[in-house]
Amino acid sequence: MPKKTLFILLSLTLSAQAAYAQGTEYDRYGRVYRDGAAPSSDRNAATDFLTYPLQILRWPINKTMVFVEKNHVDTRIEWAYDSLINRGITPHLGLVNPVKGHYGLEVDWVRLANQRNRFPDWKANSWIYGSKDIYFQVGSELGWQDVTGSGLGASGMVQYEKRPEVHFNGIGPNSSAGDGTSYKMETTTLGPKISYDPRPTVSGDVFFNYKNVNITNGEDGGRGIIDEIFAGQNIPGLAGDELLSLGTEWVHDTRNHRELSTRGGERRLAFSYNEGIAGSDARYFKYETELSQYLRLASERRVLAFHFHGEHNDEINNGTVPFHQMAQLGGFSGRPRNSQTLRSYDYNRFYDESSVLFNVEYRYAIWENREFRVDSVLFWDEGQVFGEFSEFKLNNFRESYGLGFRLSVANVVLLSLEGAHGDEGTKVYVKSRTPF
Amino acid sequence: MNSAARFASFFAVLVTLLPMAGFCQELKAQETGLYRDMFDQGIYYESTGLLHLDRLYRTLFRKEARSRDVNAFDEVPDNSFFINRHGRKSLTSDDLERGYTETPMDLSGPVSVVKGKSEGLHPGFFVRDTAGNNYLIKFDSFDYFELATAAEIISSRFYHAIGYNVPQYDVVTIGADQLQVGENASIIDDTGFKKPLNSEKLEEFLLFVPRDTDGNFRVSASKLLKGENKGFFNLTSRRKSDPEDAIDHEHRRDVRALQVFASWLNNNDTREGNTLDMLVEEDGRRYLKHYLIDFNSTLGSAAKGAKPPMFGYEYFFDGGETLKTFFTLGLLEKPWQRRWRESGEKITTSPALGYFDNSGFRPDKYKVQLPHFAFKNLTKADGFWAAKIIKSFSDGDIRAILGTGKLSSSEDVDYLAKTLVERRDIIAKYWFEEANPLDDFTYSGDKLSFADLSVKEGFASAENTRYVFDVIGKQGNKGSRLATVENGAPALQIQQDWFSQAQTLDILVRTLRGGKSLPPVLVEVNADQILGILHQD
Repeated sequence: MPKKTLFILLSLTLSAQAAYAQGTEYDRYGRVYRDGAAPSSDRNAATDFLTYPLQILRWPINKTMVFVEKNHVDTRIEWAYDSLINRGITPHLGLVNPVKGHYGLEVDWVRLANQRNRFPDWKANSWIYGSKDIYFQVGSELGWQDVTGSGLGASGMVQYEKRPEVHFNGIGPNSSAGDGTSYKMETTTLGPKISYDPRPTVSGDVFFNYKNVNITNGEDGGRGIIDEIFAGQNIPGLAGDELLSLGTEWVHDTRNHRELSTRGGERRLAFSYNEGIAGSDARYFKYETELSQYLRLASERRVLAFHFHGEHNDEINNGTVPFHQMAQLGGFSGRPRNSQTLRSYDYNRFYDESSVLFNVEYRYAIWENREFRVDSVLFWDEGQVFGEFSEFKLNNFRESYGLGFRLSVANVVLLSLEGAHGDEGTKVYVKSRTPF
Repeated sequence: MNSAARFASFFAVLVTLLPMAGFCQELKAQETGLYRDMFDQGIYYESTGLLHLDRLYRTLFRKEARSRDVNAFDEVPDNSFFINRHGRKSLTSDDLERGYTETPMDLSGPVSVVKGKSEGLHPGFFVRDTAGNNYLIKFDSFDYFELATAAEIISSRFYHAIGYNVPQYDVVTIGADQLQVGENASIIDDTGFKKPLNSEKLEEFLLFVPRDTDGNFRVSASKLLKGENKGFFNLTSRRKSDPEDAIDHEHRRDVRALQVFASWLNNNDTREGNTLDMLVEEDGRRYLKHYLIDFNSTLGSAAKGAKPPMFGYEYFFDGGETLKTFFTLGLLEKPWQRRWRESGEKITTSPALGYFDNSGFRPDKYKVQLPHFAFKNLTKADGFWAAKIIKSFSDGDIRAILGTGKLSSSEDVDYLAKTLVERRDIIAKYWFEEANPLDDFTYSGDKLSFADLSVKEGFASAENTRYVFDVIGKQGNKGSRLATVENGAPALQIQQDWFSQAQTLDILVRTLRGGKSLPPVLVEVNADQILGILHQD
C-alpha cells in the first residue's frame, strides 16, 4: 500500500475522533481537547486485574520500607553494631552451606574494661562461634601484642571445638562417595605462642600446642559407622589422639583487600612437628604452603585470581598421621570447615597424607552502584590427595568448575551464590565470603 | 464449594473491590522514601509491569501510548502539575532569577533550629527565621563546598521556569553565631534515636559542615510550603481520591517529560520520594497542588559529594546492563566506565562542580536512578515538547539562573554555563531529529505557515529540507484526498476551492531531510482557524 494512502487513512482515523475547537481564537495552551472533553484514564480494572493479588503482597513490604526509613531502623542497627565493636564486642553473622546461619562473638576484654588506652599491648580475647550441626568453638587468648611497637608478641591460648558430623569416605584419591561415614570430633587445644609482625604485610609465629582429639560416632546417624564400613583397614587415629605440636607459620600478605583483592597476593608457609602422647602412635612432620595471587586485567573490574594449596604430612620413625589431621579436600574452604576448596565435592570428601590444589577464578564486576557491587565469577578447581610423593598421579586429579555471583559493599562480601559441577554431581553454595 | 471455586470467588471480589477502594478514600497523606521507591520501581513494577495488559499489548506490538493530558494543539494546558512559563513566553532575567519566591529569609536576627532533618542523605535543620517563617536548611558536604547548595537553587529555578511547582529555594549565608537552638528542639543523631538538641550538640554537628572564608555557613534554604502535606505523588498512577487527578500519571506528558528535563539538569534522583502534594486553597479553590522538591542531587552533585560515575547511565538495579556485562564477561566497556577511565578515574573539575560534563552524554540513554513507566512511555512527541521548552532557554537565560547559585568562582559558573548550553543543544538536536520539529503554526485562511525548529536553531539547513503536504478534505466523517504539495518553504498556500469540497481540511505535513522522512504532523483547519495539531510518533 503506498505511503500516501497510509497517511490519508491515518488522517481519517484521527480526525474521526476530533471535535472542533469552539470560538475564533487559536488558544495554543487552552483547555481545548480533541474529543471535546477533558481526558481521563479509563484503564485499570480491565487491564490491571492480574496485578491485584501481587499488590496485596506489596502493601506490607511498602509499609515495612517506610517504617524502617522513617524510624531510622537501619541507622539504629548500624549504631548498635558499631557501639558493640567500640566496646570490644564483635558480633559475627554469616552463612554456611547448606543455608544455615553461622554466628559468632569475639570479646576484647581489655577494651570492654575500658583499659585499652592504659594497656595498649595487652591481649585478652575470647571467642565463641557456632553453626548448628557443623561446629561449635569457644576459646580464649591471653598475652601481649606488638609490645612497644616492636611487632613482638606472646600469648597463651585455650580452645574447645566440637564438630558433630565430619564426613569421612576413606583415605586416598580413589575412595568411594558411597562409603559415606561421619564422625564426631572434639578437640581441646592449649599452648603458648610467640608472634612477630614486623610490617603490616609480614607476620609469623612459633607455637607449642597440646591437642586432645576425641573421635566418636557422628551425630547425624545417617551415615555408616567408620569401624564397620572400614573394618579391616588400618585407619590411624580412629580412637582419637593426644598430640604435642611444635611449629611455625609465616605469612606475607600484599593483597589490597582481604576479600575481592585486585592486586598483590598472599603467601603462607607452615611447618610443625607433631608427636602423639598417652598411647597415641602419631609422629609426623606437617608441611603446608598456600599461595594466592590476584591479577588486575586492565581494570579493577576484571581480576584473575590464582590459588595454590599444598600439604604433606610425613611420618617419622614408624609413626602415623592420624586421619583427622590429614590433608582434606572438598567443599568450600574456610571457617567453619577444615577442608580445602574443591567445590563440586562434599566437604572433607578426600583424605590423605598429602594434597595439592589449584583454584583459578575469573572475577568480573557486572553491576556497580557507589560502593555496592556484584561480581560474577567463573572458577575451576583442580586437586588431588595422595600418600607419598611417588603416589602422585596426574590422572588422579579431580576437578570442579562453575559459576557464582558475589554481592559486596566496600570490598566486603555480603552474599555469595555459587554453583559447581564435577564428576560427583553439582553443589550450590550460599556464603558470605570468598574461598580465597 | 471446592477450593477452585473459592479461589475464583475470592479473586472476583478482589478484582471488583480493589479498584473501587481508591474512590472511597479521602485525600490521605501518602508516605514513601528511598527504600520504598527502590522496591516499588526497581523490583515490583519492573517485575510485574507486563502483567498490565495494556503495557503487554504495547510491548508486544511496539505501540506507543500518546499522552492524554495534551490539548487539541499538542500542548499541555496549565494544570496543578504544570504551568506553561518560559516555553510559552520568555521570562525576563529578573523573573528567572526570582523563581518562586514568597518572602526572603529574614536574617536580621537569630535563626532558631526547631529540629534536625531526618529524611534524605544531606544534613540539615528545620529552622525559624527572625520573622517567624519556617525553612528547611541544608549544608554542603565538607569537601564539596557550594556543590549541593548551588545545584539545589539552580535546578529549582530551572524547574520553576520550565513550569513545575517548586518551593521557594535560596542560597543563604548564616552567621556562625546566628544559629541558635530553639525551644524543645530535637535531632535524630547518628544513633538513629531522637535526642533533645542543645548548644553543645549543635556545635558538634556544625564542626562537620563547611564554612565560607568569613566563617559563616552557606546553606540552601527552602521555605516550608503552605497547605496540608499529603505526601508524594505517584509517577505511575493517579490519586483516585482526587477528583481533579483524572489521568494516570504515566500518561501525563508533564510527568513523562521529567525524564528529558532530568537529562538536562542531570537530576538522576527524579523519583516519587522527591515529589510532594499539598492541599492548598488558592483563589477560593481548594485543590491538590503537585510539587517537585529536593534538587541537591542535580548537576554534578549527589548525596555526600560528587555524582558517582555510573549515575545518569544506569538504574540502581539495572537488569539489562547487568546481563549485558555478564554475557560479555566484563569485557564490554560501558560508556560511563570509558568516561571515568578517560578522566583518569578522578574528578578533574572544581569540588563546587562535582562530576558533570557532556562526555558520552546521549539524551536517549539517560537514566534516572529508578525506572519509571512514565519515563519509558515517553513518545517522540513528548520528547519534542520537552526539548522545545529546554531550547527556549537562551545562553543568557541559563547564565541568569546560574547566578542564583552564588558560586564564588566565575570559572565554575562559566563551566556550568558551557556544559548546560552544550547539553541543551544536544538534547534539542536529538529530539528535533526524532520528531517532526514543526512548531508555531499560523494560519491566515489562505496560508498555513510554521517554523521548522531544526532549521531555526541551526541543526539543519533549509536547502536540504522539503515539506510534503497531503491535503484531505473532510465533510462530516468522510474524507478524500484533495492535493499533495511539495514545498521547500515551511508554508502551504491554501486554495479556497478546497473548502468548496470540504468543511475542514486535514493537512499532513511530512518533513524530508537527509533522505529521511520525519513522522508527520497533522494540522486540522477550517476556513478561519487552526482546529488541531498533532505530532505523530
